[in-house]
Amino acid sequence: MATSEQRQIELLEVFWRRVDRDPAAVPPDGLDPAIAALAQHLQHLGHTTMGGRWRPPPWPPTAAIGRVGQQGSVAVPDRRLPAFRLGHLRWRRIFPGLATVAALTLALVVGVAIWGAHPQPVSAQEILRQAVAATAGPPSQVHSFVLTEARNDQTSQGQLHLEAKRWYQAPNRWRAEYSARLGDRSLGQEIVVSDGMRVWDEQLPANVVRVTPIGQVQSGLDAPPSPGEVGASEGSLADVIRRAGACNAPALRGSATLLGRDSYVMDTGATGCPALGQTGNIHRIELWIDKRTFFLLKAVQYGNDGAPLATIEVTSVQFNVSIAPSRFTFTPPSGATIQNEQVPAAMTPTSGGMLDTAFMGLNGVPNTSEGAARYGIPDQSGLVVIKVLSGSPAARSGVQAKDIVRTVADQPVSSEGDIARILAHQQPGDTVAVTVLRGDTTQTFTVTLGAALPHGQ
Amino acid sequence: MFASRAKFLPWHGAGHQTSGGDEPDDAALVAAARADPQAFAALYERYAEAVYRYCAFRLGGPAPAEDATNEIFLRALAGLGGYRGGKFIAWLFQIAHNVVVNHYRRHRPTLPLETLLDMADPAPGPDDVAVGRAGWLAVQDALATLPDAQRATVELRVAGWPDAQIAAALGKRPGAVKTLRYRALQQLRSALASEGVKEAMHGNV
Repeated sequence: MATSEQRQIELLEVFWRRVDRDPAAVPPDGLDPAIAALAQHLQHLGHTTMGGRWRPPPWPPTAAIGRVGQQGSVAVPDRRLPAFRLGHLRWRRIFPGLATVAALTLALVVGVAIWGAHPQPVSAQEILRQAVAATAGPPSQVHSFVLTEARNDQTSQGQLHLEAKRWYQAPNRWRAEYSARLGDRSLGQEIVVSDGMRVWDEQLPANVVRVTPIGQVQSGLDAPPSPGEVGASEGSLADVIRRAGACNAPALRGSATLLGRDSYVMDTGATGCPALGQTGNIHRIELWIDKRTFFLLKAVQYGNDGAPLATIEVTSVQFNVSIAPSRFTFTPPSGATIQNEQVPAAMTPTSGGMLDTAFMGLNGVPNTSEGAARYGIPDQSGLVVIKVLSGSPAARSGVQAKDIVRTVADQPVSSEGDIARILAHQQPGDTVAVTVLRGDTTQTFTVTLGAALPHGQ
Repeated sequence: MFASRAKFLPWHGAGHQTSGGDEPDDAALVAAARADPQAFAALYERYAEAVYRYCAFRLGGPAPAEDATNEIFLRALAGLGGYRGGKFIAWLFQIAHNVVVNHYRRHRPTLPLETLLDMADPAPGPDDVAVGRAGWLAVQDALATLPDAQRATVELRVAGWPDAQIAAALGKRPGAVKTLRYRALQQLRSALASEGVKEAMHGNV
């Protein structure tokens, strides 16, 4: 058995190298045809995604530096989730600018004692530049960490206290427990756990649990708390830094000891530009930056009136410690509503089973400006059909790939979700009218809905 | 300023790139770059295309791959002070992997429309659930079921990295890389077989 596996391994190697140069290469005798076909297909997908020849632009890619600095978009909130979420990006929406310092904080504490001594910078700008750099990427030496970070904000309704406890085990297991309190009142909790295969996201007291396969996480709220990658990317800090450099005169105020670490105390100075921070309330920021690692230990944001708006600081950290595996397992509490991100709404099993779900057999993407440009259509509504399953109700009705579906059952659609919601009110055997734009003509097809296949057949 | 020569690198394989085992060369470049950040350009030119191809396959196209590649090398330059030795390509690959994962976190991977249409076989054949027709998204889903090392051996092979470089990047022996890759394909195959049906279900209406 081992020998024949060894032979397959060698044949695969030879074949794969060949198919990289010649996509139509024929597999050698003896190589499992299914494996050969898969290798060939993977390489085909690779060529498609890699495009033609690619020459690296000259270094440094200055145009890209600005783009890198602007990354870190906030995911569109999921409509199905309760309005109040405690994940770090939510913190960003409530407290613009805080996510920046959150990212720094986390990156910082992991870096403690991991990163070697740095040559001493000469200027405040250099210190800030190093601080930006220090948030970039997790140190490979970090295998695990446990930390707590806390934020306190003075609001008109009292003090808002947010806390995040994080555990991380490389490469892909983590746990984050968020809690929030306004004055004495608890605002709820959120727990996000990755067990290496799925990300579980539980919100209390709503008792909703969302589970997403780890390859499919969509929103930053499911982000593992790797150093430097929490919440906003370092790009936001880079924005702060660049803005500070352009609008302020960031200054080194002195030194201080925090968490037993020697740190620079920096002050971004009063902003000379509008809207430092998304609301424009943040007037200046004080930063405590660890001298050895240039990670952020603490940040205080001040408003226009000179009063502190928010303080975020690391209160404890340990790195490369062993963590009980139970930290990274999750069992939904009984009675919780489970939202399974892998199964589309239309396919959620109902009491009657999958066979009750009406099904057409289309796969598509919303028509975007890209699609509109391609098809020369003025507006941007509709779903571009990417695939029609062979033998499916949609195929039998005459719908084709590249059609743009405009309405189903007389209702406008622009996503698979829209169609799923319409089909949820139909039964297999029902007929629905589907209008599409094909080229520049509108056509209508009558689809006799079928039944969805049971999962796994 | 920086030399503007953009080396033409061959498309197939990574012929001109040094193998990952060529430590003195990488180490010398790293030392030079630490002394003078402008010297980082040499490391960039050595590995940019390989990194780009890895990103392109994982992220689905040239545009996100270029952004990611830039971010990876900027992080590498910024973090050079923290690089503690060992194989440079292993350190660089770790950064690349994390940048890609970070990118997934922010954006659901979507391919350009043209690519989706090209890859979705607009003339449906008799066996739409066959492994060979699995779209890029389905393949990514299936890859996600693999352990990291196995997964990387496939992705890096698709990206055209020589086995020696893959071995160095992953900290494995070249023989182990081949074995991991073969086993990865076996697992991918069964993941895709059920994925093919899932594709009939998943994202379909």
